[in-house]
Formats: sequence, C-alpha cells, structure tokens
Amino acid sequence: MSASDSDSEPELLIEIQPTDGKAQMPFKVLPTTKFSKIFTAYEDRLNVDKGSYKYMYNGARIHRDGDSTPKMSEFKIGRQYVVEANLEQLGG
Amino acid sequence: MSKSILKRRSSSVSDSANHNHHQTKRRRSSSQQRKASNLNQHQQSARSAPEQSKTFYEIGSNILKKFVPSMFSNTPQEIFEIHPGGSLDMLESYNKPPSPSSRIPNGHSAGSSSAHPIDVSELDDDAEIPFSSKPKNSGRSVSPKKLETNGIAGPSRQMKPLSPDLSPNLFPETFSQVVSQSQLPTPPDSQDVKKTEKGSSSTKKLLLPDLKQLDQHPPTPPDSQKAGTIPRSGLMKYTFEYNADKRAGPSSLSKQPSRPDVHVDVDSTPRPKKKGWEKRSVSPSESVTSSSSSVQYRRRKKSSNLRSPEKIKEIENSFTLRWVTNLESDEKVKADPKLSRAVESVKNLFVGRSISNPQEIVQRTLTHAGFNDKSTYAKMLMSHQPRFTTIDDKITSTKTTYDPVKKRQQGRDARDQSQRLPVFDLDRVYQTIAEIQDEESRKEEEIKEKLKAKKPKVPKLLNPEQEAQVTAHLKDPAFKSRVSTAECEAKSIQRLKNGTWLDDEIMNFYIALMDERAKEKGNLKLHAFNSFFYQRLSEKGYSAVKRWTKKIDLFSKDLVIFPVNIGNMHWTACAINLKEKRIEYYDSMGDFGAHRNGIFRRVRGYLNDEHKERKKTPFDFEGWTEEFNDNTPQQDNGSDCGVFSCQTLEMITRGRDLKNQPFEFTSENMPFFRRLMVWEIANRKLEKRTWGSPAL
Repeated sequence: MSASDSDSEPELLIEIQPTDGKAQMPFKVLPTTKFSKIFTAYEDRLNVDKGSYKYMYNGARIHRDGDSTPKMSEFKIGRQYVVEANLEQLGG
Repeated sequence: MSKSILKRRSSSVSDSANHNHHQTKRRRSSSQQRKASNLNQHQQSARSAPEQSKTFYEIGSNILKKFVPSMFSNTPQEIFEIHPGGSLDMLESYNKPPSPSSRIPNGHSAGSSSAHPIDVSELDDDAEIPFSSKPKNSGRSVSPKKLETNGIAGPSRQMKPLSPDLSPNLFPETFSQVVSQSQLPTPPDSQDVKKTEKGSSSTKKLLLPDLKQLDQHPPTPPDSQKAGTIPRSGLMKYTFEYNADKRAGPSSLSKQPSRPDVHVDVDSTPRPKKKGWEKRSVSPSESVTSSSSSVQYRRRKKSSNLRSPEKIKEIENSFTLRWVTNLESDEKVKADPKLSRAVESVKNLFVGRSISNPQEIVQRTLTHAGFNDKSTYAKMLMSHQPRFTTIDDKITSTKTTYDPVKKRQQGRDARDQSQRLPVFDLDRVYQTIAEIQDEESRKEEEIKEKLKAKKPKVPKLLNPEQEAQVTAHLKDPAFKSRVSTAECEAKSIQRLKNGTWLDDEIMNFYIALMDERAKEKGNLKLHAFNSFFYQRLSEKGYSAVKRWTKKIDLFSKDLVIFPVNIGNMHWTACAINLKEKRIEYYDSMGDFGAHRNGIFRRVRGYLNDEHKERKKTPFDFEGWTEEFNDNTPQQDNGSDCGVFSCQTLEMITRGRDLKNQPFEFTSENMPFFRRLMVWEIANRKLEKRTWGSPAL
C-alpha cells in the first residue's frame, strides 16, 4: 500500500509516539513539510501547550524551529518513522 | 415508764423502719402491688418486731451499755426520755437550748407518744375524711383551750402504756402488741383507759406551749378551723384540741391523724364510718364518743396509700436523733470527752441514710473513739481482708519493683569491673596517651593532605567580559542556542540562575558540548546519550533504545555517558567506562531514592542486550565493577544537582579518573559553574578548564 502511495505522491509516514501514554498519531507528510507544522498539529490534536514535548528520532533531537524538514533528517519517502515525544524533565 | 419498754419500742420502731426500707426495694420491682404489699408488710413488720432482735437501736444501746454502763444504769429515764412534741418537735427543741418546759417527766412525755413514728405511719394509713374532719379526735391536735388549761395533749392509745400510773397489763409488751391493740377496735367505753387518761392528764402538769408543731402529718380538716384550731401553716402546725373530760381515753386513741393532701372522696363514697363519725359529731363538745369498729378500721387500712418510704425514713431519722441526742445531753456523757465523742459519732451514724452492718460500725466507731474492747478489735481485724494482686495490677503497675536477684547481679558486675581495672597503672595510662597522640597526629596529617588535595582551585568569577555576556544572556528573552543534537531557549537558560532546577534541555545541551569537545580534541572516544535514554530504558526496556545506536558501535567507544533523571526531581550522572571496565554512578545527594542497584542492573542488562543485538553474543562482564562514588561532592541546597552531574561528567570526559583522583569542585563553586554553563551554552563550546589537572 505504501508502495502504491509512494508511486503516486512522495509521502512518508511520521508516527508520533508520546512517552507519557497519550494517543499515538500517524501523520502522512511530504518530505518538505516542516516539522514545526507537524508538531503543532499534533499538539493541537492533543490539546496541549505548544512546546510541551521534545521530539526525538532515535535519540537525536528533532528541532522544531526554523526550516527543519524530514528531508533534512534524512527521512526517506514511503517509509514510516516513529518520532518520540518526550515531556520535560526536571531535577534539583 | 421503764427503760426496757422504751427500748423495745424503739427497737420495734427501727425494725419496722427497716422493713419499710425493704419494702421500698420491692416496690420498685412491682409498683402495681404497691398498696397491698405496703399494708401487709407493714403489719407484718410490726408484728414480727420482737422476733427481730438486732436493730441498730438495740445494738447501739447494747454496745453503749457495754462501754458506758453507768450511763444506762443511772439515768435511764433521761436517756430514753421521749420528747412530748414528737420527733420533729424534739428536733427543733434540741436545736434550741433546752427549756425547762421541754424537760418533761416520763409520764408526760409518754403522752406525746402519739407522735411516735410508727404510730404516725400506722395512723397515716387510716387517714380518712370522717376522722380528719374531727380535729379533736386526732391525737396530736391540741385546741387553744387545751393550751390555756395546760392540759395534756390529746392522748392516744400509745400514750397510755407509757404513763406510769397505768397498770402493767395495759402496757403492750412489744410494739407489735401496741399495733395490734391499736388495730383492734377500741371499746369506746373502757373505763380503765378513761381513768388512766384522766389521771394522767390531771396528775401531770404538762405545759405544752410548743406542742403545735408535730410530725409531718398535718390534720387540717375543714372542721378543725371551725373548732378554733390553728390552721395549718407552712411548718405543719398542729392544734391539739383537748377536752379533758369527754375526750379521754380510747376514743381518742382510735383517732387517726388525717392529712390534707389525701383526697378521699367523702361525698362520693359514703361509708359506714361516716355514719359513726356523724354519730360522734352529734356530741356538742366534739369529743370523740365512739371509736371505729374493727371492720371500719380494716377498711381504712386497706384503702390507705399514705405511707411513703421517704416519710418513714424521716420518721426513723427523727427517732434515732432523739434517742442519741438524749444520750448526748446526758451530763455524764458530757463530762467525758471521749464518751461524748463516741456518742456523737454514733449519732451521726444513725442519722445517716443506711447502715449495712450497724453493729460493726458502732463497734468500730467506739474503738476509734478510744474504747478498747477485745472483741471489737478482733472484729476489726477480722474485717480486714487481704488484697490479692490481680492480673490487671501486674499489667498496669507503675511502681518499680525491687528485684533482689537483679540488684545482686548489678553489684557483682560493679565489683568485678572495679577489680578488673587497676586504677593506678601509670604505665598503661602513658601508653594509652601515647597511642592516642599518635593517632591524632596521623589524622591531622591526613586531613591536611585531603585539604590540600581537595582545595578547590576553581575561580570565583568569570572574567568581566564573560560575566557581562552571561548577564546579558540571562536577561535576553529571545535567547536561543543550538547544536546538532540539542537546543536551548530562553526559558531553559533561565534555569541556570541560582536556586532553580535544571531541565533536560540544558543537560542535553551540555552533554552535546562534551561530545563535540571530545570529537574536537580526540582525546577519547566518547558517546553521550541524552537524558531520555535512561528513562526510555527503565520504562520500556532495551527495545525502546535499540535503534539509538544504529549508526555507531558502542563497544568501540572508551566512554559512554548519560545523565539520569530520577522521578522528574533529581539529576545524577552515570558513565560506562568501557576502557576501565567500570560502571560509574555519581549522585550528589547520597544515593537518592536508592537507585544505585537499579541503575547498575539496567546498565548491565543494556550492555548485554546491546552486545547480543550487535555482536550476537552475550556481553562478557569479566572484570567489570560497579562503582558508586562515595567521594562525590554533596550539594548544600535543593537545586544544584544538575550542575553537579554536568560538571562530574565534564571531568570524566576530560579524562580524569574520578575513582582514584579527587573531585575538583565543591558545592561552593556552584554559582560560578552556573554562570559558566550559561556562557558555554551561549557560545556552544566548553571553556578551557584551567584549574583542572587534564586541562582541556
């Protein structure tokens, strides 16, 4: 299915998986879609404050500012990527 | 009047009173049978009085007699003198100083025996309107005429036996006999009685000015006021109407004092008694001409409900008081203080409510008053029962018990100890002193060395340029710094102010800086996980972090570092020293939450799984040690743990072996490090550690 989709449109699937047990959501995006857009959409869906999650892919921070896109993170078309959404950590 | 008779009477009175006491108990149980039982039992008690030998009065009198025989032998009459006005009057009179009129010879006092408690109670039962309507008939009522003529108050039948003129046949041997006689219909025309009454009344000159006040039963029938009697006032004033000629004798004896508070419907219940009363009332002088028949008497008794236990109690008390007060007023008793004391205490006892064992109490009282009686003393001793300790006593005992065995053992121990230690062993003392001095000097040297080594060389402040930058960065709301794997914004950099907790942004940024420095300097092959590594590992296990090392070979590194966040409230540092085969764990707060073992276990599991995943073989833990560094400088507040962890990891990544080398900073340097970290994060590079031993 993904193969047929990839034929028609250059899309990839980003599945955002929060570590606090909230809803896991897949986003079908273009490689040039800004990450900030995806994350804002996800936070709007969950109805949480903007910036409350820190997104990571394989332990590497995905920056939500600027022009960072899946293409810059070397995400390939037609694949599924699990992006973890971590809450803030504090300690004293 | 003889003493014995009086004594018997008193005993019978008390006995009946006791009986009434029992009655009250029974009444509580069965209130429905109150009337009948009251009547029957009272009769019974009156009749059984002679059989019951021991009453308080007998006992008390016997004991007193035993102790003070002279008192009884010499003045029996005075002792048992009965107050003419009845018990209440007597009480009043005794409250006052004795007046000559109250000192009455026996015969006259006997005339007032209508106020005898039992008589009253007996008569109360029979209080009925027909009789009460005739105040002259009541034994207690004295008419003003009578008072004027100084005649005797209306003599009741009970009076008769007490008069000395009477023949002994007329004296009832016991009180029960008196009662039975009173219960019998008195012959209205018994001449003997009349004679005696007349004789007594005529012979005795009895001044009874204060006879108005009698016992608590005020016979105030409506007719009494007509007859000129004093109407009843607050204190139950009685008027005795006495006709010396016509009212003598048995007729008056049969009269019962009536009570105004008894409501017997005269009109609604016409009775034969009324007939008799009418007949009697025909006589112009209102004297009693005829007594009630036996049938009438019985009916009256049955219909009575006047005897209340409280009243009987009062009567009993009044009688006892009279008896004992007579004793008290005796001169011989007065002369002897001990005796008077004893009598007083006996009086107090008798006036008291209930005496369970009168004999014992009297004896005890007398003994306390100074009388030595063998039997009394023996009885007192016998009455002392030994008290046995119960389980409760043992449980709740607050006293410290004396244990001889324990004490002895303590003494032995002390003696042995004193024998074992010779006090004046100077050699041993000098030796000990020398040892102590050596030890102290050694400790001092060690401390000095430690202080020298631990002495922080960390500067207090950055150079002025850096300080200015840091201040500017902390004030900049749009602060933003970014490296390849971390970013830090103004919100996070504010957390580097003093007294605030650090968040994951700063920790990860700083670790990224270390990673970059290691790459730049190339002193060691370092891999740094971010702060979420251990969180994912502990929450989800190895699968969550399996892909984190996809692009690198972890086992080719010299050092793997990662900060550990505990419960979102504490930062610690962990380092996997693959070169030295150590798992190092640093905590600036002791071992916060006792996470040490969990961390070591999880790291070992991660290494094993990672090795299986990458190298397809289990990890060889041969020679691996777990190092929890106890020398980690401890924080002196609740906010610096993140800085401690960052600086510890920075020292490790600089190449310092913290297992063998001391730390370079203490908690005093934390404000400096906070500002230094701001500067380093803002400039995206680590400052050269000029104070460190491997200064990079």
